[in-house]
Amino acid sequence: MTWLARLDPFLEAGTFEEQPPVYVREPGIRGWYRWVFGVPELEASPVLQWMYGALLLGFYATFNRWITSDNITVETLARGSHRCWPYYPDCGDLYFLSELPDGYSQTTLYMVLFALMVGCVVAVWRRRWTLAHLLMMPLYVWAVLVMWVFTQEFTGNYHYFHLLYCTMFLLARSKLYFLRRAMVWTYLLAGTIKLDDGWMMATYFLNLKTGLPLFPDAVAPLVSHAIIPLEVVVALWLLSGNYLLQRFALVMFLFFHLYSGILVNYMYPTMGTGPLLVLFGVSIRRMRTPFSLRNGLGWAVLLFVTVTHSWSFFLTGDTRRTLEANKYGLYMFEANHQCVSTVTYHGKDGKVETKRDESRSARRRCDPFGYLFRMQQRHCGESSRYARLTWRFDHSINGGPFYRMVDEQDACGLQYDPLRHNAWIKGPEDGAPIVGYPVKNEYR
Amino acid sequence: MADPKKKKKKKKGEVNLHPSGKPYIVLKGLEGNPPAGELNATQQAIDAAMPVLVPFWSVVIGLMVLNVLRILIRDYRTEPGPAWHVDPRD
Repeated sequence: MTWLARLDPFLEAGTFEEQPPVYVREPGIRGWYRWVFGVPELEASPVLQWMYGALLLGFYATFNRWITSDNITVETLARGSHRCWPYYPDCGDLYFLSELPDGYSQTTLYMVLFALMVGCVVAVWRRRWTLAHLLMMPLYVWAVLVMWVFTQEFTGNYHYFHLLYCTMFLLARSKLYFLRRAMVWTYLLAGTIKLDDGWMMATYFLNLKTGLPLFPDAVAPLVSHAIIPLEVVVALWLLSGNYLLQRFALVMFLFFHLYSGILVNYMYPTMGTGPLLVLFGVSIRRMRTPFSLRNGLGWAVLLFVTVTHSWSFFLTGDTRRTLEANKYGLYMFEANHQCVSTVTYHGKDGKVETKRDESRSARRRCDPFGYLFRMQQRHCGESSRYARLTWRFDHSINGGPFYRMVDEQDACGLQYDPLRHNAWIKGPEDGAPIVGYPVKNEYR
Repeated sequence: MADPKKKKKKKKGEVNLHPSGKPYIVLKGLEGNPPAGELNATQQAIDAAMPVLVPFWSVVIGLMVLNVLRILIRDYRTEPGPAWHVDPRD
C-alpha cells in the first residue's frame, strides 16, 4: 500500500480533528458574535480555513453570473418576464435593481459585493477570522434572498450545495462535523432521484444527439447506472477510517465532478470539487455524534433539506413530468425535457391569435408553473386586453412520447398549489393523450 | 406491382409517422435528428431487468439510510475509530 500512498498529495498534511475546541463567551458585542456563530472553531481548524476559501470561490462564481442577469430587475418586472416561487408569487414587489442598459444599480450592488469579497481575502491574509466571517455574511444573505425569495430563475443545484455548506459554515456549531455530513448526505439524496429509466438506462443521455460524453452508446447505460451505487453506497466511504475505501471514494467523486463539467461547465465543479478536497482530502479524526441543543441548527438544516427534497415523492403523478415540488430538492439531470406550449389569445375585441413556444434543450425544465406564472403576469387581470387564454402544453421526457399535460380553456382562472398535486396538470396515469413523438434533442 | 421493400419517397408537406401512427414532433433546431426513444441492446437488457433493479436499489437506499442512523448512534455511544492513516511498514 505504501507505493500507492506515495502518490497521495495529502498524506504528509497530517491528521486533523473534527471536534471543535472548547470556547467560552467573551464580553461585548464582538464576543457575542463569536459565541453565536462559533468563530473560534474557524480559528482553530486549518480545514475550516481552507473551506472558507472554497466557499468564497463559490460566491465569486455565482455573482460573476448574476451581475449580468436581468432576472430580478424592475424592467423585467415591468415586462412581466420575472418568475417567482409558487410560495411567494408577489416577489416582484421587492425588485429595486436595474441592469444595463437601463441603469447602473445592479452592477453597483455587485461591485459592493466584490469589494466585500476582496475584504474577505485581506481578512484571511491577516488571519482576522471574526472579520472574515462577518464579511462573508452579506454575501450569504444576498444569495439566500435572491435564490429563495426574489426569483425562481437561479435554481442551479450547485447553488443549493453551496448555500447548504455556507449555512453550516457560517451559522452552525460543530461546523466541520456538519459540513462533512451535509456533503455525504446530499450525495445520498441525489441518488434517490435516479431510480428511473433516465439514469438506469441512460435514456437521458442517449436521447441527446451527442450521447453521453466520452463513452460509447453501448456502455453509456452501465456508466450512467453506476452513478447510483456511487452516490448511495460509495459516498458513505468518504467518512471511512479505511484508507483504501476512503481514497477510492474521494477519487471517484473527484472524477465525477470533473466529468460533470463537460456538460455543465465550471459552476458545479467549482461548488463541488473545492469542498470535496478540503473536507475529505486530509485525514480527519471523527468526533462523537453531537446530539445536543447547541448543535440543533445543524440537525435542523439536515432535516429540512431531507424533507424538502422528499416532498415530491409524496405527490401523486410523475413529478419528472409535472415538475411539482421539483425545485424544492436536488433534481440535477432528473429528466431530458422537450415541450411545446401553445396559447390562443381571445381578445376582448373578438380577435383570436395563437402563439407557440418550443423548448428543445434537455436541461431546460418544462415546468407548467413557469409558463402559467408568466402568462398570468402578462395577460390576465382586469386591465388585460384578452377575454381568456386557451392553453395546451405538450411535454416529452427522456425520448418518450409527448403527452398533452395541460389542455385548458381558461388559463387565467387556473390556480397553482405549491405543496400538492394540481389536478389540471395531467400525466399518462391521469389519461393525458399522446400527441406525438420526439426526435433526439440537444444539451445547451 | 410496387416493391414493398422500396422506401416510399416522401411528398412535400407529408409528416413522418411513428410506428404507432402518431406524428413526430420536430422542434425548431432539431430538424434532421434521428427519432428519440429507441433502445440499444444494453438498454434493452436493463429495461428487462427494471422490475427487479428498481426495488433492489430502493432497498439499498433504505439500508444505507438505516446504516447512517446506526453510525450516528454508534458514534454517540462510543468514541469513533481513528482517522485513516498509512503505516510505512504495511
